[in-house]
Amino acid sequence: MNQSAARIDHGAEQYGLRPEASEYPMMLVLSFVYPCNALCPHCPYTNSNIRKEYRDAPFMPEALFKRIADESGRYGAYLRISGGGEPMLHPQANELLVYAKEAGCKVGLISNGSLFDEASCRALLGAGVDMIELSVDACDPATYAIVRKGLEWDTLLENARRMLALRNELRSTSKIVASAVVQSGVDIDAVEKYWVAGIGVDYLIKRKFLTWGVNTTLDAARSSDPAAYLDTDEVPCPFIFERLNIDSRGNVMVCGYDISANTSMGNVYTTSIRDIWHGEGFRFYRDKHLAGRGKDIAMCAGCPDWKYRSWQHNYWKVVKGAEAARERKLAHLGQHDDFRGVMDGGTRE
Amino acid sequence: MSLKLADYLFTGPFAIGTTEVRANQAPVVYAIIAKGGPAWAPRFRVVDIGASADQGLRFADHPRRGTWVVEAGETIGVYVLDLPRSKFTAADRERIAAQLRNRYDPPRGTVA
Repeated sequence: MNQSAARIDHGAEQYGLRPEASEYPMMLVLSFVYPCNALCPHCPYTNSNIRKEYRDAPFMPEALFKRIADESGRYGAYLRISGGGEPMLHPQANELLVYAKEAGCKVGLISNGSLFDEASCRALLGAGVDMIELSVDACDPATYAIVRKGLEWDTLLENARRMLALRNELRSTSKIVASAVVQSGVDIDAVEKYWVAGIGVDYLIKRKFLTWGVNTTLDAARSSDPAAYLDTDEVPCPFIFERLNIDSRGNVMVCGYDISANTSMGNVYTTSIRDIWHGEGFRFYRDKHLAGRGKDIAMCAGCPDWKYRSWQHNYWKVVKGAEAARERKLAHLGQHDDFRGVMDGGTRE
Repeated sequence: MSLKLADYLFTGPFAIGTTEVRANQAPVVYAIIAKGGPAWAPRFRVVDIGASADQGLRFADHPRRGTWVVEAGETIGVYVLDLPRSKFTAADRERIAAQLRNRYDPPRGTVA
């Protein structure tokens, strides 16, 4: 285990629904699209049959997305726009994400950064999309060509710089972060230095390498930090107490491990998300996990990713850290400042 | 939906009555799977495993179809693993099917 991982507490004082999720999930992870313009070797969708299986539903339909946004907006829940492909390939991406913000949702977008132009940046930053995460995975073109196969390093840099400059110019509330998977061949500390101190993103998310077990052909040996966060004999999985996943057919899966959609907790077309969240299916999982019997459930017993989830070191921590960084940067910017100065190295910090 | 048997990723479920592996398609190893239990925590029972021949296979006409019996609350379908001729021979397909039958012990074995 590396030293930084050893110092972090991943458990909690008590387990159960997070207070913010007592009525409604804090986060809804949406499989917004399945097609992708990249072939990343660590991607569960590139290394599975799932894209093929969703050829009839490659994009989340507008009506379904708006149904989810309308209900979630009433609770101020986070819509996490990710799923099986590059979200900006959705023909209505900008329009729908802006709609979700107007409906009252928080929006976290995960993108490979290859498709942002000035118009899309202005739309998303202007709407205050809460967090835009660029999956970068590298800090040099040679590594990028391997871990982000099919994408152009120069395009990523140009798009990231433009987005940061516009964010600062517009004084947008959007946090802009980067992420990298901790995998062999990637110097994660160098990636962090390059993107945070160099390019000027608000935070670098270091992701554990996950295999998604039975869903993919990914090899865990690619991980360069396999140390577990949780003792799964002792600690319940946090995901079922804070979030759920929805595919482009409206099916709700129990968690992000079930990307093949073998579970069905309900369907958003026929049942409210609130009712699904408090329904028999989720109660079943929560009761088992709280009783220390999560491994009675075949899927949980076989989940190799449970041990990499954390009650403390998670998305909510990233949100907090990134927001603090964004506020610091904008506080140091005057109206006539050169916004590029901030994004090229954060020299004002 | 995907289902992993040993280290092999199968795709399915497809309807037994209408699914066919044609002679001009990639041959397969197939698994007949009965899905039971509640929708939120399904159980997958392996009913049968086999390999398609080079001349193809119609599951509706399969000689063992009569033995593919579902229990109360189960639905049944076929999952396939494509094994293109360029990489796998008929002997390879039979070997993989035998290995999986040995591991999952149809018709009672379950997929974890």
